[in-house]
This record gives sequence, structure tokens and C-alpha cells, in this order.
Amino acid sequence: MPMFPRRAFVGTLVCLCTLSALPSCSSSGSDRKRHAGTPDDPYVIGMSQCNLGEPWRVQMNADIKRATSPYPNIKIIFKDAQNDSLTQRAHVEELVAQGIDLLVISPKEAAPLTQPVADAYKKGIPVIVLDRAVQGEEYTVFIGADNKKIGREAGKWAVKALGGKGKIVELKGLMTSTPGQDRNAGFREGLDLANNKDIQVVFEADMAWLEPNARKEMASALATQSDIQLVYAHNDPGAHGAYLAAKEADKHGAMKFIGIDALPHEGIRYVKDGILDATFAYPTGGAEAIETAIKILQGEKVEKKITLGTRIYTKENVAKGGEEIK
Amino acid sequence: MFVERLKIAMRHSFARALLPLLLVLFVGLVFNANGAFFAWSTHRSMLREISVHGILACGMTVVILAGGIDLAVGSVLGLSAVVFAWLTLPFELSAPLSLIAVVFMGAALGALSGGFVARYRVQPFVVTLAMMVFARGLAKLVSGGEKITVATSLGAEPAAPKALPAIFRALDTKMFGGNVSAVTLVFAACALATWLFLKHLRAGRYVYATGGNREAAELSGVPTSLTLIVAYALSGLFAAIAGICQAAQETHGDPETGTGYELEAIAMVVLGGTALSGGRGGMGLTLLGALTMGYLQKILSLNAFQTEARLMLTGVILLAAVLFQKFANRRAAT
Amino acid sequence: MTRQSANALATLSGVSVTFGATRALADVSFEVLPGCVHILAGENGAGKSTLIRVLSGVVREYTGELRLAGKPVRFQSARDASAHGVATIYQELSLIGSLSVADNLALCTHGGFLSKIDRRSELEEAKKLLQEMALDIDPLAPVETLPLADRQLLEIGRALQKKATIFIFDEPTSALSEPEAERLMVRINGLKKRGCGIVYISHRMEENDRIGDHVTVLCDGKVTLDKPKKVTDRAEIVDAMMGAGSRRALSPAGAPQPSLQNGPVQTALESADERSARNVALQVRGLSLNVPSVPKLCDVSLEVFAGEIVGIAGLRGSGTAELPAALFGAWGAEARVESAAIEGRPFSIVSPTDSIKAGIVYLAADRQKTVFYDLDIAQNISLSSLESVSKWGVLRSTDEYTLAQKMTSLLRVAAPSMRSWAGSLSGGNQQKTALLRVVTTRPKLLLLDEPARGVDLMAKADIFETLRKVAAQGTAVVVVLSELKDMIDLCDRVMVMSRGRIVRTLEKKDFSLGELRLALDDPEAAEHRETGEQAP
Repeated sequence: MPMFPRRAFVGTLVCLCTLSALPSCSSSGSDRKRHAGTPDDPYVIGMSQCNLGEPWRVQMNADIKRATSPYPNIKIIFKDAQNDSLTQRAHVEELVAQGIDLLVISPKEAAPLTQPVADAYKKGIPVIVLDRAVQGEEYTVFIGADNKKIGREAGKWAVKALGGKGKIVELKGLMTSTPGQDRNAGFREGLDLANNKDIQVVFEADMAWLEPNARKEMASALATQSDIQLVYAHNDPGAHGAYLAAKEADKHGAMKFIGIDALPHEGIRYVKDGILDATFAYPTGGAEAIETAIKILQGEKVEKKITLGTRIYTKENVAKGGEEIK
Repeated sequence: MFVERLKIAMRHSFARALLPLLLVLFVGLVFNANGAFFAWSTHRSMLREISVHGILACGMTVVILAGGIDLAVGSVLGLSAVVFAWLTLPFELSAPLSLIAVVFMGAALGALSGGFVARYRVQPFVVTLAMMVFARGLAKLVSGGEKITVATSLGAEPAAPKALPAIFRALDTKMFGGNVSAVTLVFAACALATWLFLKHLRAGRYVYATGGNREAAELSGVPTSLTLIVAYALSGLFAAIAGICQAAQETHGDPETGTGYELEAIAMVVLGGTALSGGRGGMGLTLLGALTMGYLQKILSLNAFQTEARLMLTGVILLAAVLFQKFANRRAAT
Repeated sequence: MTRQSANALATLSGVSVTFGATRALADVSFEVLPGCVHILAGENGAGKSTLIRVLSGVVREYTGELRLAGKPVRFQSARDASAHGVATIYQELSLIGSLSVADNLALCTHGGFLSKIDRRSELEEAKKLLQEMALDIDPLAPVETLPLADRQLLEIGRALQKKATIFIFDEPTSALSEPEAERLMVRINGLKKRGCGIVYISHRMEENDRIGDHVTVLCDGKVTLDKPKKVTDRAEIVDAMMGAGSRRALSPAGAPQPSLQNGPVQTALESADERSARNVALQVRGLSLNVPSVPKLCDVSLEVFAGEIVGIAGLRGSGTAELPAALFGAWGAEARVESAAIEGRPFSIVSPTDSIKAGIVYLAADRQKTVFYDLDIAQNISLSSLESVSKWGVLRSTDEYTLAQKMTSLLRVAAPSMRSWAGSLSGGNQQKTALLRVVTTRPKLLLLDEPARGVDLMAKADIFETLRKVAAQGTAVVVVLSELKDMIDLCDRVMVMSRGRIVRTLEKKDFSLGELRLALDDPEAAEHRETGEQAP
């Protein structure tokens, strides 16, 4: 018998908790309760990542985690949508329901995520959109790198490295994706073929960001073209694959290899090992997102759009941590 | 007399598989990309490029002959690449031990799939689909989502990069005066082993019987369950070997590698003329199918076709080759 | 000889059908009258099924004439026949198990390929029909959940819905229980009252007695009896079924065949005493099989001696097909047995693999389960005894070839080479190949289900000859045969089965077609005679 009252007590408690939780869920508008931002009651930031299948996005999460670690008054909830827009949409709604103070989102696609982001924004939750944009204006700040600019820098560097004369192979990411298109267009701008008439792009092929494909395509380039002097790949694994193909044909000594992304375990290490001649960072924006988030939470004004610069890593500067290009 | 008869029996299916290959080679002669098609190095690199897919196709041939399908080979390849890289690089296990461990793991995963197919009669498509997802997940878990490289350390702190172990370099070298890639030899060895298994072992005959007619095989005293388990185990084993080759060629273990390779392997088997319904076909045919696929992709790549055109052309040629085999088959039967 | 009734629903006159060299029907005339149940009787292979196949549009190559309601027709297909009102209720039902009763009834009745489905009116129609048929089943239940009898009645209902006037029943009750069969009889009477014509084939004489109005007996493709039921009796029918051969076949040894004369051994007329001096090859007590809840075999016990050929006779559904499969272990744990011993050593009937190790092999009736079409002849023959042509698991191709040659010298397989695919062979040669596969294992006990089904007479003689040789070497043979003449030809003893039991055992000296026929037709009476004290 003594068990019964206790069970009833627990039951009542659960009911009460549920009831008290209900209004807080349904309350909307700017009167939502904020966390105090102290170590006892830390700010809660929701981070919705679209996909952790790519090392670059793993790096983004790692950057965010590292940037948060000095702040005991910030707690981060990570969600991985596994490359599914609808899952990501559900994640945003869950995070909002959990009562986060700020949302960081790296969306998979613009259209399906515009509405949930706008909903969160309208509820008074500041939203930082990372890397890929959403439509409209209903977010707090967009932080992204500029693929076109990075491509342009790579192009300029290539012209300089070749001394204005030589044959180039371009191994493209996916030409149906925006990053692939921008890295291609920017590179061509940087090469400025109209004025550098002695520079030729003799072979270009799609390698779908994959190293084995890049190696395969490079083998074909080597079979059909002689005197290739520079290879530009849209990502570092692509450049690495091209290097392996050139090495197999014993022609790697006479070539320069340029990649993009500059992740610590990939591009930067390849430069250190002398495999790549240059790699350009495509910053994840993770650290910048946390900096901006803290500013927002402390009530400071921030710009609507922050474009990240890039860093170039070459043999000469890799030991010093690369060189920033504004 | 017996040899003659055997040749007559072989002629049809072999000729049917040979024809698409000759057709593709002819296309290569015409679109030779300024003579690049005639250089041995082109053929050498083509052979290197099909090796990993081809090794998968060896196991796939056995499974398809046994009346099944193995969708997990691409993922098991990825897992094997990661585990092999992890064992040899940060864990610094000796190469022979790592090889044995990885090959054993692949065979065990395959046997697990086979066990479900044989014992519980679950559809092979479903079982291996589950294994495909599971193995990919395991690969990501083991690697933490990142590539396992010479700089990967066991602890949290990044380690100073080590030199690449000899086994990696050995698998990505050229042999016989630089004329053949090492992985191509591995592929050739796998193909030979598969051929011997199917042609000259009792177990191989049981594979044909089980795939041709499982119920009849059971009533004839064929240990069908064991046969299926062995077939899938072989597929897993070859996937592990392919994974090791992949890791060696990429100089790291990438948890994402091998995605979609199962389709490539199935295409090679089917293009050779092995029936998806099981019981009919063989390793020789798969070899021809692999060469056809390899040359097709090489020619498209040499001539720098756009991706869109390549995908569409590959689809059209695949379908045409299979249809051609079907018609040739019908004509031979009447 | 054509007798033309003015009101006949269908008339076949002078119809002949030949398949290759065999003449399945020779100048047969047959009439279906409204409100009349026509019993079609005859031994297996007498031409009954060919006759109904002509009537239902399956066989289109025939000479002679088919008239429907006086008008000559020639069906293009079975579908065409059913559009003309000829409905055939086969053993293998044509309903789709996963669809509901209403869906099945509405299937293909009206509308084009893309026309809209009106579920409500379909359901109404189905309900109406079920009521008419006095069938108490849910129209939304999937057909596969219904008992077989209901499905059969549903099939009749569907034919009625399509305005069928002629109903053909081919062994409709063989898989039904007594009360289920009773319901079917009532339904058939209902059809009769509606003025439909019914063609009815059954091996159960008592059913024929009950519902038949007219009897037509076929023997060797010819009509040997064609009378109203009232003016004939069972003896006359049995006589007509045996045709001209009846007197010949009544002699115990049967018609002498060339193979018998130079056969290696004569076991004919061996008495039970002589046999008991030989070794018991198989001894089984209390074998029962319930699948899934229907008793297929009940408490079967039998003894088979080395070198003996035992025939299993019985009507369809009496357990003859299940007995050899169960002895082989093909039913696995579903078969229960009190004790089983092979050559005195006990063994458990669990799996085919174990049985083969113990020296028991089985050849199913269905060639789909015995022939490997994608393997060649030599590979087929050696498959069950690969140990003998391999060492350490490595096959020796030449040994395999030699073995196949040795075996085919025992029983000739007509093919260009030992390396021809089994799929390219004729049915008879496929059957021979399959038989050689099981014989190659040198079994102690050979279980065969219809080893000569669908093969021509020469092949049949060859196969029987081989079985005699195998038996002479000491193998016990248990063989299910549906043709009684074959039984007399081949067997040393015959066991008659009914409702999953062995109800009679006939010694060679007691063999006669008449005796066997009676034992089959009236197994209940036989059971009473044999085991009077334990009859149900």
C-alpha cells in the first residue's frame, strides 16, 4: 500500500510538468524566455548541419566546437540531417521547440529551408546562415566564403607560377553544382586568357569531387596531352588523385598542382609533403559564426552579410600557417 | 572430342560477350584521341582503373551465379579501406597481419549476409542492402568521418606524419618494366582464383546448381545453405581485397570510398552475359564484361566527353549490349 | 456414329488429336446436354484431359468439328472459349490470392485497361453473387485466406457471372474434405437446375454414381462406352476403361515386354516367404505428416526389401506424392516418425542431405525439381555423387566424363554430347538424365515419384528396364505410378493408399488390373477387408 501514494505522486508530477511545458511550447513572439548566458544557465545555440558525409563539414562542426570551448556560458546542440532537406527542416523545428537562443544553420538547399528559417526568425530567434544561402531576408546574418573569388585567386596564382606561359589541366567538381561552377568561372577570370595568350587549358573533365575519378581523368589527360605544366583541381582530393596519376606516368616532377579547401588533414598536409604546390582555404566559417553569435547575444549590431576571405598555403608559408588573402 | 565439344558449347556465350568488347575497341580505333589509344600506357592505366571494380565483380559473379546479389560490396570495400588504413597507419600493425585481419573481416561480413539469405530465406536484395548501410556506418564510426592518413593519430592530438608503409607503395607500383600495375595483377589473381573455384571445385559446381534451381539442388543433396554462405563470404573477401587496393592507391582510408561501386560490379557481370537469375555464366564472361566497361570509360575519358554525354552514352551502350546478347541468345537457341 | 441432339449445348463430332507420334484422341464424338452431368471416365492417358482441352480451347490442333448450340466454332484461345461460355474449373485455380474476393470477381469483367474502378458497385455485385451462391464469406477477404473449397465455389461463381453455360470439372474433389465435397455436389446440382451442361471427371466412383446422368468412357483415345448412367453399372464402366486390353492385362504378369525377357533378374511371383529371407532395406514405423494442418500421411508403416520394387498406388490427394518425399526427409521436421531404419541401422528422417548420406535418394515427379537445365548432361549425372569424381574438393573433369559415359551406357540419353545442356534435351531425355543422377549415387533405397510421367513409350520401357537392373543389384525401389498397367509391369508388390494411409498391399500373384482398379476405386472397402479391426 505505501507504494500507491508514491506512484500517484510521481504521476501527478509528470502531468504537471507536461502541462507546464505546453504553454511554453506554444508561446510565440518576442516574449520568449531567454537563457541568462551564465555558466549556470548557458546560452543554447542550435547547429543544424545538412550532412556530415564530407570532411569539410566535419571540419565546420569541429571549428564551431573549438570556437565555443573558451565560453562556459554557451551550450551547443548539433544536428546532422544526413543530406535530406526534410530531415533538416524537422531538425530546425525541433531546435526551436527546445527553446534555443540562437540558430546556426548550414542548409542543404535554399528553397525547402527558407520557410522554417523564417519561422524561427519571426519567433525572435536570431539565425546565422552558414555557407549556403536561403531565400529572402528573414535571417539575421549570412556568413559564406566566395568560391568565385577563391577560383580567381587560384587563377592569378597559376599565371604567376607559370610565368605567363604553359598548358593547364582543369579537373572540375560537379559542373551541376554551384561551387563547381563558381570555382570554374573564377579560375577563368583569374587566368585572363584574353591577355595571357600563351596560357592554354588543354584538358578539362568532371571528376565529381572524387579522388579515384580525378586520377582516372588525369591519366587520360596525360595520354592525350604532352607538356602539361599545371593541374588545377576543384578540391584537394582531386589534386591528389591527379598527382598520383602523374607520378604513375613519372611526370609529376615537371608539374604544379593546385587544390582548394585546405583542410588540415588533406590539403595542408599535401602541401607540407610536397605533393601540392598550393591550396586555397575554403573557410568553414565555423569560428566566425560563433564570434558573430556572441555579438548578437550580447546585443551588438552585426552586418547582414559577412563574406569570408581565403588563405593560401604554399611550400613557403605552410609552416607559418598560410597567408591571408582579403 | 570432349575438348572440341566443350569449345562448341563455350563458343556461343563467349562470342556473345566478346562482340560488345570488339565493338567498343573498334570505337576506340576510330576515336583514338590523336593516337593516345594506341599507347600501351593507356591500356595499362585502363587495366589499373578497372582492377578495383573487377575484383568486386569476381565475388559478384559467384553470388549472382548462386542466384543472389550482393549490394554491400561497395560499402565493405570502404570499410576495408578504412580498417586497413587504420591498422597499418596509426595502429602500426605489420602488413601481413593487417591483410589477414581485413580479408577475414570482409569474408565474415559476407558470410553474415549469406547466413541470413540461406538460413532465414530473406531476399538477398534486402539482406545485402541492410549490410550495405551497416558497413558504411561502421566505416564512418571507425574513421570518425575523416580520412585515415599517415597523419592520423590514435589519440586526440594530431601526430607527426609518418612515412607511407611499404605495402601501400607495393600495391601502387608498376611491374614488369613498368608495363603492368600491381593492382592489375591482384585482379588477375582474383579472377584466376574465381575461375578455378567455379570450374574445378566441387563447391563451384554447387554454386551453379544452387543458382540454377535451389529446390532441385536441395533434393539432390547439395548443401545449398553452406554454398550460399560460401558464395557471399567470397564476395565479402574480394570486397576486402578491393578495399585494400583502393586504400593503397589513394594512400589513405576514405570512409566514403566505394560508393556506388556495387552497381559498376553488377554491370560488369551482366555485360559479360551471366544471367541475373543465376546458374548460367562464368568468370571468363565477367572478365570480358570488365574489359568492355573499362575500355568504354577510357575512350569516353580520352576524348574528354562531357559528363552528361558520358552518363547517357554509358546507359545506352549498356542496354544495347545486354539486348544484343539476349537476341543472339535467342537465335542460338532456335 | 454422330448422334445429334437438337438442344445440345456443345457437340464434338469425329474429333482426333495427335501429339507427335501418339494419337491422343481418335474420332471421338461427345455431347454436352443442358441440365445434364456428363461423367468422363478412363485411365490416365486415355484422352480425358485432351478432350476437355479441346472443349476449353487449350488444344487448337485437331481435326473434326466442335459446335456450340448448333453453330460450328473454333476457339482461338482458352480466353476465347470462356467468352463463349465454356468454364473450366481446374485444380490449379485461376484466382489471384492477394486480391480480395470482390476484386477477383470484378477482374476483367467490364471496362477497358484504364477505365475507372467503381468499388462500391463491385462490392454490391460481389455480395449479390455470394448470396446467390449461398456462400458465407466476406467479399473483402483476400482469396488466399479462404479454404480451398470456398475458392473452388468462388471460381464457379465467377464463371456464372460471365454467363457460362458449360462447366468442366477436372478432379474437383481430390483435395477437398468430405463436407466440402458435399457442398460442391449441391452446387453442381444447382447448376444442373439452371440448365447448364456439366462435364465431370473424378476418380471417385461413388461421386460419379451420385451425380452422374450420363457416362462416357475413353480408352486409348477412343470412346468405349457412351450410355446414360441409369442403364450401366460399375463393372461395365471398369471393363470399358480397360478397353480391349482388359482381358490381356488380367493375366498377372502383364503384357510381356521385350525388356522383361532379357532382363537380368526375374523377381516375378516371389512369395512373401522367399522375400523375408532377404535383407530388409527400409523399415519405417508410424510416419505422419500434417501440412499445414491437413493430415497428408497418417501413421504409415512399411517395410521394403533389398532388390524389391514396391509400387505405391492411390488417387490424387491420397498421400502417394507425399510418401516418398517424406521418407526422403524433404518435409523436414514437419514429418514425424516413430522409428526408421535403413538396413537395420536407425536413422532420422530430417533432411535430404542426411538421407543421401544414409543411401536414400528421391526423384520428384516435377522435372523442375530434378533437372538442372543450365548444367550439361555429365554435370547433371554427377551432381549428387561429386565425391566420387573429386579429390580434396577438386573436380576431375575426365573422371566426371567417364562416369557419365558409364551411366549412359546403362540408360541411353539421346544428345549430341555429354556436354550438351540439359535444357536443350527432350523431356524424355531430361527424365532419363535425372534418373541417372539418382542412380549414380548407388543408393540403398530409391524413391521415385512418377518416373515415367510425360515420356513416350520407348523411353518408358528404357526407364523401367533400368529400374529393374538397379533393383537386381540390391537397391530397394519405391515407386509411385498412376498407370496401373505400368504397376503390373514393373512392381513386385503394390501398396494402395487412401487418405494418407496404406490400406492394402497386393502381392505379385494377386495382381490384375481389375483387382487394382477395385482397390483404388473402393479403398474404404479394401481397408475394411484388410484391417477390419482398426477401421475408423
